[in-house]
Amino acid sequence: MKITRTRISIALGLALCAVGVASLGDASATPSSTTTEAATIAKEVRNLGPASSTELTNAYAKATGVATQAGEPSPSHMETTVTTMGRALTLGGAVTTSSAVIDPRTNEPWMESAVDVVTMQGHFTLVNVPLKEGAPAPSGTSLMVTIDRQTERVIGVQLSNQDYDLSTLGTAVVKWGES
Amino acid sequence: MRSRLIPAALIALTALLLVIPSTASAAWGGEKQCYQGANGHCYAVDSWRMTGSEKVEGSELWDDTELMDVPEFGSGAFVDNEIWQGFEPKYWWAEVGQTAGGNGFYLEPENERYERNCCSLHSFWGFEGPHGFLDYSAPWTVNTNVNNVYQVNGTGHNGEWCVYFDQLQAWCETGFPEWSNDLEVGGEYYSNTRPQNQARDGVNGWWGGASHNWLKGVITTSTTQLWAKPNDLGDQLGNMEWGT
Repeated sequence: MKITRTRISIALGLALCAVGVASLGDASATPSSTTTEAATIAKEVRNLGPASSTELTNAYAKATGVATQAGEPSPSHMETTVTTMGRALTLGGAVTTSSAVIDPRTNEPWMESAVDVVTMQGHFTLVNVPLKEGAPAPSGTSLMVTIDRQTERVIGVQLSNQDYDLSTLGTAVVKWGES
Repeated sequence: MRSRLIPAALIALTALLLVIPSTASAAWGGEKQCYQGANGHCYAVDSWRMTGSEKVEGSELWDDTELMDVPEFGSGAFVDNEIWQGFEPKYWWAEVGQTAGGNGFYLEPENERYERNCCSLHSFWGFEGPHGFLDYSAPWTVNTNVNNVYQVNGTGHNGEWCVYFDQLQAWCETGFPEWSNDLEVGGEYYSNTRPQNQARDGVNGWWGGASHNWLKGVITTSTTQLWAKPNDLGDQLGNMEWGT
């Protein structure tokens, strides 16, 4: 699967408008629809700008890198959106809780910091993560990669057998086409 | 005849070298091979495996990393100094502490903005439980040679367990048992070459609405190339120093 600059630009334009359909993928990709709520983005998500083509490319590259390390070089159903750290964490099914940790870079709550989230499906096993002694490496079919926007660094991974539904976040979702 | 055998032998030898797993030579640890692979995680830990009526509702860690250098951070190698709050026999846990190096997520070169390098410490937490696995590290750094404080708290007794950076709640996950029956503290090593690490800790466990010294503690290392021993914070179980 390849992302072309043209397709990124097309998707970026759509994401910037926060309406319509965005699709990234190779020539055989099938466009897929997204749900966007520009008002929701502005109201509920602070300090989030739309994803630039550079950020999309960065997110795609890093997410596929994590997937490859997890034994899945060809993940399917790849999607990405921009949201806050706190909202991203709720995708795993946890009850939303308050977090008091302040990001010293901004003096704002860390959970309100902007992140790019990429979700995908496949067969993943994370061997390169902190584990309790004797525990088997976690395996699952849904992988979520969280990238801090300020540093463009992967700061978190989540792995489960239940899908992470980005459409619940209310931000523009970009879907990469499947080859 | 002989001249034909020599090239054939060289070809066979070359082919053999090509198929030997790289981890076979890229490892350390002696009797327990430590390397970047599923069975390559190595540990220097103090463990309290609870039995009978022993159980805890939380724990606190004073985590002092005195030396940290993970040369292979660019390939995902990492070292953690942390505490694990376990829920056996499920192999569920909550963990919190500080990490350096690649922390495994992604192979990338040095990242100055994140201070992703050999030696900078980042607070992190992880859970393995009913919602799967998650692992997050803070994109800012914490200092070496100080007691950075971390906590794991399940005092709500509703299956919700929270991890804390200092006194501040970082995140909570639900669906865990009401009580924890396993505590472990120390270092985790995931690297093809021997990193440099030295650390010390103070720990306690919580039950009955108060903090207590550990009732048991067994210090172990995966390999003789790691060391661990009680530290000079008194004779409290769980308080130790360790390193490579």
